[in-house]
Amino acid sequence: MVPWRYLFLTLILVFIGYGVYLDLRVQQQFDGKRWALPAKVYARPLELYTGLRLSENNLLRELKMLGFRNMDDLKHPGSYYVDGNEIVLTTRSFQFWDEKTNSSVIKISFDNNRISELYNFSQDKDIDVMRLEPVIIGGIYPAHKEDRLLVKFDEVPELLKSAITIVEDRNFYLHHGLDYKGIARAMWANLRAGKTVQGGSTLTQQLVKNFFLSNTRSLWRKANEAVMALLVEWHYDKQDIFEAYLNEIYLGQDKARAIHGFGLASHFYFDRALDDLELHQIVMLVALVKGPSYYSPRRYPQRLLKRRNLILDMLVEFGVVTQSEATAAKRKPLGIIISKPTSVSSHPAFLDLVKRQLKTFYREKDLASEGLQIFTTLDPLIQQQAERIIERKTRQLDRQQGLNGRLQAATIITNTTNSEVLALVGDSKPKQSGFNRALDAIRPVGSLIKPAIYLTALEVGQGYTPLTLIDDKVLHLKGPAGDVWSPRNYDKRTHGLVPFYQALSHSYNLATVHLGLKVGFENIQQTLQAMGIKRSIPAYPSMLLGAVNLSPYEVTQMYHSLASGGFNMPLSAIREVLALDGSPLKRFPLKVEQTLNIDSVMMINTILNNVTIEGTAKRMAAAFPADFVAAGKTGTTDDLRDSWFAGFTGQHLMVSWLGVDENKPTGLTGASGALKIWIDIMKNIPTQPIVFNSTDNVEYIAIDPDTNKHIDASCSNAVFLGVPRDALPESQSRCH
Amino acid sequence: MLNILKNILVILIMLSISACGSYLKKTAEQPTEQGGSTGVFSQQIKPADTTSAAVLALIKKARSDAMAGKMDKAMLRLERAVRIEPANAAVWHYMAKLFLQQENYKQAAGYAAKSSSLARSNRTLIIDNWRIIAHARYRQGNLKAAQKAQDKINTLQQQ
Repeated sequence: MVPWRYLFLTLILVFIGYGVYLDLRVQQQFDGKRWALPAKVYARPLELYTGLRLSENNLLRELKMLGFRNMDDLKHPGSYYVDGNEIVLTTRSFQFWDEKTNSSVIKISFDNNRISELYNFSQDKDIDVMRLEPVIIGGIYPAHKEDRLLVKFDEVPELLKSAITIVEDRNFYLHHGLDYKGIARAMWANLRAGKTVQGGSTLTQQLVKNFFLSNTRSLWRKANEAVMALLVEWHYDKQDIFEAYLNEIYLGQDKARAIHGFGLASHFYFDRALDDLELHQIVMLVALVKGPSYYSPRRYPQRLLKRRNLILDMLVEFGVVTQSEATAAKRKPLGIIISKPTSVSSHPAFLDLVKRQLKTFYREKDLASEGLQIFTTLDPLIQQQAERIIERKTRQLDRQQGLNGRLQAATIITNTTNSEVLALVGDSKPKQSGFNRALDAIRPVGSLIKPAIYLTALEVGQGYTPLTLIDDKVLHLKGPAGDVWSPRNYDKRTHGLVPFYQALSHSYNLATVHLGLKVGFENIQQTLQAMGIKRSIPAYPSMLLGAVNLSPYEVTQMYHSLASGGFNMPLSAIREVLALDGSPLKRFPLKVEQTLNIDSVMMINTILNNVTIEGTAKRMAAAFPADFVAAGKTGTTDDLRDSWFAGFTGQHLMVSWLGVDENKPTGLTGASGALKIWIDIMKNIPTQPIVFNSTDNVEYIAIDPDTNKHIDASCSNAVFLGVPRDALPESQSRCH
Repeated sequence: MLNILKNILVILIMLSISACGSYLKKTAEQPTEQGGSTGVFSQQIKPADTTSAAVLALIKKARSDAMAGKMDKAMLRLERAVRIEPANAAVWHYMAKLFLQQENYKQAAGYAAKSSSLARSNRTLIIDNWRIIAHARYRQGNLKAAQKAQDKINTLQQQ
């Protein structure tokens, strides 16, 4: 008798203990933060103002990315229509870092690919400047990749709440977690049908199942579900439970991203806020609860339409809507939008950079759970063009060189004004995530190093100017181990005494090595440091010809100091971070430091401009109109393993790299590979030319390339260079 | 001896700054929001006539933000302005002054130098930028460099 009593007592204790454990779990989940909310990552907002160079097509592309719909009426935010050379749109309200903008009806007039007028119909006045909401380019998700947009119980339309209770749990406000009548009714219906046709789960049970339990069908899971449902109802009121249900329930899938809750589902399927939905749309969402995959609106629209209409009948039966309202709603199609680009990551390489820059300030766990809103610098219009062109051009060059799909690419585009990263591609298939070559492919840079050597020469005070003659002759250097290094020019020739500017324009190796040895490794290392290179640079002669390994990102940083006119500005991918509730958390202001002599940089830039006219990148001159003024440098490494081009206009800097991951020859030089990609992308970006102005110390003058003398700017053979005022050449009256 | 020289240098710099009647004294001694913000958008440095309506609107908003002590907001508006007009030297100058107000001397000097690199022949603006640089260097304790900047101001004023 005694052992039975002990056994019974033990069982009671185990039962109570397990109950306490379940109770703790329930309370922990409900009292703590209920959901891990992914960070939302936004592109830059498109700034609109009169005079902006923007084609109608590009604005329409941006609106498409924002999920705007082309409609005749502009009742709903996120709609637009085109009328001749005007686009009229209703913006959505948006919380920026500095202000909340309200939804307005805006007219944008175009003239010759520029905005000629901006008018706000809602306020009946012209607009000087405005921002469109930014495109969402991805998120930083927890491991399960759940996404949701939280809604408050009071903000949810009554119709939705009524429809959910009628369809899913009619006695919700009467039971204590379990609906015995509902279970009996379901059992009877199932028995009669000979299979499971009705479920008896209450909303509370469904919530518990989603929160704590798996989908497996077992008695043990059902028992746990029942106990936990009772515990939830014991601790929390109905409104709290209903609100949790509205936010937790799974309602669809967007690639790897799971759509949870009615708030997000409303935006995902209809691009509208929940309180902006019409009857047929609300009912469609309720219809999805039973099985978002089985009733997928994209794969099985007829199946879902049938269920939606069945629910509309139920709403009539329960007096929630009238028969005529239901009939009108039944006539409407599902009306779901083509999915907005909100997949886990539209631009994986750029998102990778954002995460790396954020890591200094936020823990990875917080990024995936605190619902932060991250405003980045990405220009989606430029990024799209870069991705499209790189994919196409790399495929073409790969075929041409017989590389069997091994040719890889990386490209970074920045704004020369503020060092913001506008586009970043790390793979020849840009949507592919994985090895991010833009950040992590550390490769020899070849002749891209040369501007740093020539810049050093101008800065060290040895009297060099762009017109100084330097020797392009054979040399043999003995290494410490007795080995001899005999560099050669790419054309295998020597050129004797050549002007400084021509040696750089034509990328002569021998002249560069002679010059580099004269100015000294230490000085060159200091210049590279001033150009933003943090990596230690070796001090041996082959460094002068680019035996220096850098990533495309580092090269971009280096050339940015030239493109910005002598200022070092760390490349930046993030502008601001907002908290979940829209309150400002952190800003990432631009950092500016003058690290190079402005006059020397101006002189180097005029030479790099010459590179694009008659030097190694002269292909560029043929590709653009005469008023396109850019500067740049090609880079090619031994056996044609790496093809580089770094070039900038007055507004954009772009660094492009092509190569094979296994470091094998590609058969491409900087000019025959990376430069082609640079040109194709730049042709598709509205950009500003470089404007060279004389300074107090340097004059921007025309030079006769044959005599090195100052000539009239109208001479057809004139080369334009910055030359120190105290070393100006003689003038020559006639053109050669 | 070195200390005495240092003190003399400090006094000279302070005297020259106050002689110019610039905002620098205000920011150095009375970094109040109201006083400082008026200095940021002083009447002396005006945006060029070619400045677009968009940039003028943003400068106007930045001015009211600064007057209300909302320096971060003011900076954000000016950042928007330079994205629209990267070569607008006056906007870079206003940003330099905002940094000076916020006692971020390194950035104040950087932005002032950037403004000067775009100012071309606008001597008033270039001199005012050198004042910011002199003040920033002085505040950073780099007296030698501050004196160099002051010498530059003197030379420019004599030209």
